[in-house]
Amino acid sequence: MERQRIAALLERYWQAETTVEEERELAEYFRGPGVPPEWESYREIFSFFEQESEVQPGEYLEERIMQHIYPRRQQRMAWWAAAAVIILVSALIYLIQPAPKATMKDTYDDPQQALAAVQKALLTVSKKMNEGLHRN
Amino acid sequence: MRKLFILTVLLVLTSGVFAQDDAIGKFFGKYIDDSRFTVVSVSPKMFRLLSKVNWDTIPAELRQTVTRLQSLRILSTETTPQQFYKEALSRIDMKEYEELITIRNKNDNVRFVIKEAGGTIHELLMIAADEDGFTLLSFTGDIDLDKLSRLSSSMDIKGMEGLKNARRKNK
Repeated sequence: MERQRIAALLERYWQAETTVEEERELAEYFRGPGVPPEWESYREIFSFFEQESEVQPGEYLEERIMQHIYPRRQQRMAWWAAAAVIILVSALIYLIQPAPKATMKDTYDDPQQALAAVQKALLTVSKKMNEGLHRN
Repeated sequence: MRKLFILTVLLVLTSGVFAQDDAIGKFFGKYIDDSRFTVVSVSPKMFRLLSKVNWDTIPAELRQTVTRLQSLRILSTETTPQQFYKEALSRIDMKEYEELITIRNKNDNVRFVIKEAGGTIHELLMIAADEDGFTLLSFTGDIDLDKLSRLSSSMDIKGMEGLKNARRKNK
């Protein structure tokens, strides 16, 4: 009788003595109809195993595992990159910095004196300009 | 990597804009600490302070001109004027300027150049060399050439000498 055979197979199954074919037979039996109510819980077990065997590993599983094992590596790279950018940028700023505008240091502190200088400069320019313009 | 490249390019460009001093800045910077040179510089800040001084003795025409100026820089020396004149001409980027007046003589060289934008003259640069010395003079601000040229006649300045070989050069 099939039921007795299944009972024997189950017995060996729990002892982990079944072959692959026998296990397949068991799975087939529990998938089919006519499973007695007292074995209902076994049916759930076998259908669970079957479902689980369908599950495929997700994409990049290996990479994700490695990411877990060495999580620091990529972060450290990012920090190095950031540091390099900062150094490069500050070096550039330093190098390209225009010469200090020492040229605009005021010669006079007193506006009155400054005005006199401006006045003199204007007259010099005006005079020179007229020299050029009146020639024509 | 590409972001880094773009960032670098942008940086170089912007700092280039910041570095753009007036053309005479370089020439000025070179000789500002040279004992052979006399330096006069009046900053925009000082020009603003000028409004506080007593203007009563200053003619109205001069006053109008001064109030529209922003800065003044003069670099002058008595040593080897013609040599410095040549150096100034070669060092200053004349592409930035428009030529206004050129007086050329054996021992009297004057060149007026201007920087103009939108009908306003923002900078007037005079490079002059004669027996007395070399002068590099720069005014910035809003410069009215007409008023400026009339200043000397209204201020009783003699000095119509040295005109014989002066010539005006059109651009």
